[in-house]
Amino acid sequence: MVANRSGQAGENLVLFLSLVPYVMDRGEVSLEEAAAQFGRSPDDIRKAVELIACAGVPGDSAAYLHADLFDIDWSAWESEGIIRFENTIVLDHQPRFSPREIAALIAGLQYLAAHPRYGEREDVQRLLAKLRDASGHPNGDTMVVKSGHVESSRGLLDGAIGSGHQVSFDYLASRGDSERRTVDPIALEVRDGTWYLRGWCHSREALRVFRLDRMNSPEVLDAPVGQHPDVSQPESWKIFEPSATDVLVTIECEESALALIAEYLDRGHPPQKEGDVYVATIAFAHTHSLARFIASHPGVVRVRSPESARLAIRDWASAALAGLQT
Amino acid sequence: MATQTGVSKDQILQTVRGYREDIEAGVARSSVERRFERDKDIVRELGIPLEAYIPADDDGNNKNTLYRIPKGQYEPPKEFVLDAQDIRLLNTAAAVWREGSLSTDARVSQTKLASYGADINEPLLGFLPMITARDPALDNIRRALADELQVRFDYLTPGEDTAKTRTVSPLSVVLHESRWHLLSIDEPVGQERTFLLRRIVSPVQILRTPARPAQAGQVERMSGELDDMYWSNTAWISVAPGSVAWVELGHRAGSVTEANRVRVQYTDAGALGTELAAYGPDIRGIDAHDVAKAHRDALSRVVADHGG
Repeated sequence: MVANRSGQAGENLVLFLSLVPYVMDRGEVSLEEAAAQFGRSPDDIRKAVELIACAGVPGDSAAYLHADLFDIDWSAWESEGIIRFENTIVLDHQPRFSPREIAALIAGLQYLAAHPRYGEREDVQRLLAKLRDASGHPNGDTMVVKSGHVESSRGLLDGAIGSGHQVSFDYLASRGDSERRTVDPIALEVRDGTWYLRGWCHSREALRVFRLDRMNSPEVLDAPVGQHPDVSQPESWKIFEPSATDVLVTIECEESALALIAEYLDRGHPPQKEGDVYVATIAFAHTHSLARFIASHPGVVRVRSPESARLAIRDWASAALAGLQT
Repeated sequence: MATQTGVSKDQILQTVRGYREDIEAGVARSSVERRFERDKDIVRELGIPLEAYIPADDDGNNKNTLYRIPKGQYEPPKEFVLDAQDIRLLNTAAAVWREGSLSTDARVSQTKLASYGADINEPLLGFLPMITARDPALDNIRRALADELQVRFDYLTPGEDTAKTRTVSPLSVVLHESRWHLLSIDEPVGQERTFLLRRIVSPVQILRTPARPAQAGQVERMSGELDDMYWSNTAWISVAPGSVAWVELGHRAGSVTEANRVRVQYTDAGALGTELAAYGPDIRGIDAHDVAKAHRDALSRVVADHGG
């Protein structure tokens, strides 16, 4: 595993090198403009500029950039937060993509193409061809994403999102109860090949996420959707919404399972190592979702406490075995 | 970085912040040098070509090795031109990656895309594509693929008790049915083999041996075989009518749903068995023997792990 410090410095180097052609094109750029263009905080930009361009030969990384080549107008930088170069810069072009980046971009485009909005676009296919030419792997992609099954309801839901109409469908909740829901559809999400609808549920009066594979008989209604908060950033909205009725369960797992269950782990409270295993506390909405989680990783993830949850899982799995026809 | 002349390691260690301070603070030269070597690799992995070369007037003592970023390898090839629309598309494609080292690569790509100066944000109206599937083996396999090197790891084949060490030339990693697969050529015998990353039970070791390159069309054919396998394997699953299992299984590609059973297609019996175990008592029976065995094994393991 790469040390964080080095990895961060490497990313700062890329950020700085990427700033160069951007600034050169414009003559000068303010700290705020650069932050907006690169989607970073002004502080990130400041760090990149100062780490790399300060101290003669730059920063806390393996950037062996000759001082003369990155001479910044320091008074403009310090007094007004303006980035401007004083000398001609040799590395004035956009940095190329690494082979790993190209592989991930090709696979990412393939994944986008699973959506008809992208899959039918000629420019997507042209761009894929361009990336493949540059990949150095003419005989096949080194990373491939196979898109799974697409629900027939997807087209209908996508249309309703586009036209701003409510939808209704029969929905089976995790606990097995089915009911008709009326929803303002906001976005379709495809996560690792599973499709979800994010929307405002009228019966619950709350934002909810629905699996498309648990919907039946969807239809578009005449009623228009209402106003809802922006959910364009996936991070703004997790699949799992914490609530006061959650059960907190302490689990233990092997080191190798950490990556597999990463999505469940609370980033604020990383798993603690205890001997050979890692221990983490995770909130589950109910025993069903806990059981599903545990049984998806048999032998590598176990419930440690509370005792009631451990026994519930044991009984649930025993019942599953006992119920099998022989 | 002087693209023509380059700088020596001594110059770097004595002037670059981070190294210089360590040396001044009395950190052993050898450990600073080790960090320098690691950092070089990181910079190269980020797509910055760092070249070590020995000047022509050198006496053969590679103490004089100089480091530089050659402009020609730093810039994209001349024929690689991106227009504003390409940049927006690539930015969206990069945003698909949400986890682990892939999200780091994606962030680096997005930084490079922003340097073109165009507005990189495509209005993604109502569509959020993302991949979060991770696997501990993925990082090193991707590194080996980029560097075209062979890999070695221990692999546990379902139904066997002990893992076997495998040495392979990696050809591609494929996300199929939400699971990462490695398409490869078994070394030294040269036989094609597909592995499920989840069954790799050791760290993946990157060897110095160059990997055999993929033949034209080989990756496409081998990844196509995963699909073929899906469509040729069939199992009838008896399920509680109206249950979550009944509805979700019925929505898989190619499923046939009846009142109390669903016929499903699948690629890997072991993986399907585990998937079915997660439905608990909703599953009443499985007619494919190897799927049924994996299902039972998974549930028995859960029972045993929770106080049997």
